[in-house]
Amino acid sequence: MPVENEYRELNIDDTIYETEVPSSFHKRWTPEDEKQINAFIPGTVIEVKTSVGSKVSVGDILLILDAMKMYNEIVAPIAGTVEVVAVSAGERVEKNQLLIRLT
Amino acid sequence: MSIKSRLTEFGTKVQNLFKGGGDVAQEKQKKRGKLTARERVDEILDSDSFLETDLFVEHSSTDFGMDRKKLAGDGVITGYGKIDNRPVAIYAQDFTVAGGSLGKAHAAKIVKVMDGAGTKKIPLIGINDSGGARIQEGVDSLYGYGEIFLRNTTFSGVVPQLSIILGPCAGGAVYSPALTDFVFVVEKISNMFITGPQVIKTVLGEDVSPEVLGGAKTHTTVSGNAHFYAQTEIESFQQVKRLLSFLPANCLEDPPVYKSAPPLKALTDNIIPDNRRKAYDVTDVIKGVVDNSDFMQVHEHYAKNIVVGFARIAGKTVGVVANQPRYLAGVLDVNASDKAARFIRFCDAFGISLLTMVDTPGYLPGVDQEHAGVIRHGAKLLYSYSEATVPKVTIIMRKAYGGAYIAMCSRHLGASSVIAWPTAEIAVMGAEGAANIVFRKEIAASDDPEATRQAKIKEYEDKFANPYVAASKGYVDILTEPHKTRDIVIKAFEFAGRQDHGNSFRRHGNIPL
Repeated sequence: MPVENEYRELNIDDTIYETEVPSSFHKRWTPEDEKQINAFIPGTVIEVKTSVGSKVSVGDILLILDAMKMYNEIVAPIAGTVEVVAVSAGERVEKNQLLIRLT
Repeated sequence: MSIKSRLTEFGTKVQNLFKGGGDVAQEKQKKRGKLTARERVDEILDSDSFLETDLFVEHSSTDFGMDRKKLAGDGVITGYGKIDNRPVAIYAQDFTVAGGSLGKAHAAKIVKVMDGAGTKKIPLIGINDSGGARIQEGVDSLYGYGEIFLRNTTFSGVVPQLSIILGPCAGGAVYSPALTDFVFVVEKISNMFITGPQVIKTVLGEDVSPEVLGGAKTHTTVSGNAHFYAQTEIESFQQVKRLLSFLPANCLEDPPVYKSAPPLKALTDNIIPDNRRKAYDVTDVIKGVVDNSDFMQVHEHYAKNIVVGFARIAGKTVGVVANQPRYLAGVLDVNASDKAARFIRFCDAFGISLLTMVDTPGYLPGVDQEHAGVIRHGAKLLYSYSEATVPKVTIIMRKAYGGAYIAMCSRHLGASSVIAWPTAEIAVMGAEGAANIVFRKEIAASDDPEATRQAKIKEYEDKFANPYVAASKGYVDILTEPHKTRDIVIKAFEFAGRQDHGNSFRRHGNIPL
């Protein structure tokens, strides 16, 4: 087993401790961007149900993504206007690939 | 048929069955750096102690040409034997026979030896080396897994159950080891996953090797699914034997008692650094307290901010739970709480006393932790300590702050004895954080805020960063120097009885999971 043995500084309640800190520890958390709709799973786009410039409300179906043997309805998480449609019907998408962006 | 020819026939049959999947398959197994199932059983048990059962069991499947296939022992060796002269039940899947695949007869053999372990009240050792369900037998193999899971659960807390993963263990098959008490893995040999790399590739497009996805390192460092990591199968078997030496055969029996022996190196009063912000290795402290300095860590490579494992005090097994200041300052987090809680519950189930050693700054702050459910997971630690009825002795060495102080087997959760060193700081939080809150206005209004801050930190430290406030209220029972700790701990365990919560009428509690 590899041994990490370098002491770094770690602040807990304003006290600075010298201790081992794993490299995975320093990933900063960033808030999710709700305007950015990415594929939560790889799959195939079956149908795009919106277009650039359309106004959408919460829950409107934006597109259908075929993945895990299911037609998954991708819905608008917030109300807004469609700024970008990055995919078209029949297109295969990777996980986390941008599908639609709202403004 | 003459007696002689009957005996010859019998001899030939046994010989063939002992070959498992045949010479070619056995060679292939060895080329992978693996022992055969029979060699494994022989290596792990005391010599000549194995009593094999069901060698002649055959499957009765007829679909897909199975009626023409004879599978030696139906791919699993089962029976009873001894380890250090104490009986155990054992099964070893034989990968050379149809890939160790689990069919109805295979499962029935395992179930039978599990029931044997349950009724004889002896530990169960499972050696897993199997490609998974025997597809040709269809739903019968699912029935088989279910029957095994049911017994893993029924005998949980009755007899210790150990799983050694010596090959693939995928899909539903992984849930039997997951239900057992301890999982042993070996570098480059063990693989455990619910869905393998191929499925992940197809469904998610993610490329990952079996080693990275579910190899020995992954499960002992990242997922925490396995407790003991070894380089070789032989080393793994030694770990199994050593572990069993600490454990009772069942929940009604006491763990074996050894002759009391002092630590190889006694604790000195300067065992922990003067500066409370400096790290040290808590295993040095543990080894300075326990018999022969003999300490066997469980989950050594996982959630290293807490150390758990087995040792002996005055000859009797104790489970040690200790914060590790060397790693992440010894904070409690999601994984450390899970690790400790599971260990505490094992000890409590098998009547093993708990020795807790405290030096923790608190719970780890962060969005990750909160989102990962540190509330729910941290609660497991509180729950398992509170629930435990075994003798519980706690030593507060240095920092014991806030919720983490309560969680680490405080008096309030039912510790039999709480011992503290003069270096202990039992407070609601560290001096820096507390001063910044309590004296916020004075610090802000000061001409020299930094000087005021330092003065106020000092003031808070002098007043609260010690064991005396807690001792004055009876929250700490005994104050002592490090060098006297072992003697005090021995006495504390001697006078601690088993607790009775008076709630034996209830079915079971509801631990947050």
